[in-house]
Amino acid sequence: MLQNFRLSMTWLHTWFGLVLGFVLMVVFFFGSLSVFDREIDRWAIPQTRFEPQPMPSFDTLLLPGLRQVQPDPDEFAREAPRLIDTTQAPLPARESLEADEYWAYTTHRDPVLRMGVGFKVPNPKDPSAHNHIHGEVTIDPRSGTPLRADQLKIGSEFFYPLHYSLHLNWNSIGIYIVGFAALVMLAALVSGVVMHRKFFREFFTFRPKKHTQRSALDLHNLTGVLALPFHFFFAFTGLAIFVSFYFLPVAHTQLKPLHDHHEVMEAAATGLPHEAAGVPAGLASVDAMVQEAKRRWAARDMAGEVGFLVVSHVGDANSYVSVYRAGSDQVALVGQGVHFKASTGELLREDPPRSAVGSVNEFLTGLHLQHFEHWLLRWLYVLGGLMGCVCIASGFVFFVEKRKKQHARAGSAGSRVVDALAVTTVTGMLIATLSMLVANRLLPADLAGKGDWEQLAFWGSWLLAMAHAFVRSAPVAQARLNPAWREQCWAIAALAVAAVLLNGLTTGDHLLKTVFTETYWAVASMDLSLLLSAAVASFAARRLRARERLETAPAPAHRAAPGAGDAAHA
Amino acid sequence: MREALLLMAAWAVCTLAMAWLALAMDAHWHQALGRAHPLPPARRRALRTAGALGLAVSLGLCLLADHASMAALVWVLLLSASAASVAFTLSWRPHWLRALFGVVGY
Amino acid sequence: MHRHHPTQVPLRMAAAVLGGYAFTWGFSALGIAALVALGADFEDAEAGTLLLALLVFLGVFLWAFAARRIALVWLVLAGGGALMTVSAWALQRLIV
Repeated sequence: MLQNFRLSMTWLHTWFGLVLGFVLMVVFFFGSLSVFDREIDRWAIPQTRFEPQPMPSFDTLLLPGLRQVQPDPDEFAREAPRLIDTTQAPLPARESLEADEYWAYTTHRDPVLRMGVGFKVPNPKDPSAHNHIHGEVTIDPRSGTPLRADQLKIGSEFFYPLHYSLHLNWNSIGIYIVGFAALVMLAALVSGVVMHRKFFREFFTFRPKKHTQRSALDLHNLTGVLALPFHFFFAFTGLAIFVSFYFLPVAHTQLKPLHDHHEVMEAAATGLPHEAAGVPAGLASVDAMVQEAKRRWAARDMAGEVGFLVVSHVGDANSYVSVYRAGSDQVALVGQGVHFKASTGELLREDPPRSAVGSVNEFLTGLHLQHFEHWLLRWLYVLGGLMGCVCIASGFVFFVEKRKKQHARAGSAGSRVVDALAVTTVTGMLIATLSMLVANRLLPADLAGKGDWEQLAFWGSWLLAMAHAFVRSAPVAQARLNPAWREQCWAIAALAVAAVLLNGLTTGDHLLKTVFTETYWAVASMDLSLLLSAAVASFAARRLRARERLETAPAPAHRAAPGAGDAAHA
Repeated sequence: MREALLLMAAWAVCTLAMAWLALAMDAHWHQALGRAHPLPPARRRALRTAGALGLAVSLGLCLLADHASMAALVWVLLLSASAASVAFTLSWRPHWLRALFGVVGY
Repeated sequence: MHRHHPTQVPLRMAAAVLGGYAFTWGFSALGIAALVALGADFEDAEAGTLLLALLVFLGVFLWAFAARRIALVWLVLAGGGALMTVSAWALQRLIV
């Protein structure tokens, strides 16, 4: 394309990095928050601030609750007409659907337990398809009391899906956008290494006192290079998680015959019935099955707790119960499944150790999805993610700084637009996050649709931040700093402190209590992180003010022009 | 508790190792010690060797603390964290690295 | 620094994204079908091939921008992708 390899890689890195950088910023930031998504849930839903519990009795606590779960109204309205053949009979009532699958899920970090039902649809258009409509509930495992459905789990149900789907759910388009952004991330890492000639010489180099363009480039290179394995592996494993279902669904389309042929053979080999028999049967004691599963894991020298439990073909003679071990002491996900015949409790199968390829795949996906219990590793993940955010943000700053003088001379608005978008994506995104937390504490606990109001606060404040960024961006057209950066930093500091104060006021769980007297680290870490963010934002605001003052002063001697070394960057 | 102590030790050794590797580079040696002190080749080799050994020891400590697959992840990320802390120390307080001489010997 | 025809950039991007995807799809389909034909378990074949396919997509994506002649890129990616996809289809018919 361009004269040589390095120049073509530079072009790719600059332009694809710029455009997809806005998406990647969101993915990296909310991915970092998602490491502690359940702790954020605790902060947002105060009645769940108790200790994590192992999975309670299925027979006495979970089963009664599961029997009360109804299909989700929105999903029913959307899916029933799509799945059901109405030429045979009219659409059934939502409450009349029969349960086909039960599942329950718990983690070592979650005080609450999630469980749900897959309801089978009558008269399906395509009998070989999955044909389930779902319902779920979150309960307090100590008592079985359900959590109200409109209490939004800000961490695990908002920040986390935002990270992998941008909440763009029409035909999962958000997942595809994030997937493409991940591919571009990998391309940006490789092209970045190609461009960066002084890879080892500048390994530890950061010169904050130089002019903005040099400092920004130093920081961009530093945060990119030092966390290169992290950035590469997270983009790669993120793609690996979704590749089979979304990005390269070869096995579900072109090679479906080969896939189905294998599934039938596997069902025969494992003894786990693929289809229901159509003959009703009862459910034996699942607690006894769980006990047996635990005994078997201990016998294989891997004693553990139940992470995931599934009952397939509910109420049918072919029904079986699968008990999976929580993978909190290993990187690979839940595993070592033990399967029982549901009507008798007889052992059907104990999953054998995985194949080599299977182990590699489980390791890679487990590395990303983090079910393990290792607090230092989690905090290191947050550090890596934030380094990624700094890499992207400093990339934006470098892009603007490099071009704003020539754009100012030419009267072009390019730098101004990119700078305003950068403010929106960096400080604006933080403002949206903090506004949501503040709204969470300000709105009454029993407000109907509280979760919807919180989401409105998030998106609304982000839009306002964007408007502010654009309105204040005029100085960039004269090659000066956009004051919106500094102003939004102050807003961040104020919102973060407000969130901590409101938490103390509305729940009584202030820092002195959560750190010293009735220690509860989930909430304490959240409050401490918020205060640290406020401190960093204030520091940044003051430095920005100092730079703005320098700009309006007569040209000082130390602001050197960009050196020859920067000329190669497009 | 044992795991926490091993991991803290791994992090400390890793940071020390990264500091030695940084000091083995001319630019950073002079940042920490001033323009007057030269960096003789023997000193450079000693710093590099010490740095490499330190990284290896850090990996060993991680492996003692955890299951191999987790230890590998922890160590790779500790490399990033400690390199970053050395880089920022060099940017803002480079003379703090002067104290490390006592350990390698001058 | 460089001058290029106005359609060159969109054509490169299309080659990288669309051509790259077609090539990767073909690679995946043929890889899985071939491994199963050689006796591998289907899920292992799928898991292993798709992990490699991600790296293949990365490689051809970068090559699409680095290559001198865009016509060559289209030939290899679209042509190669089509060839591999058809081969996979034929192989599946032999097995199942």
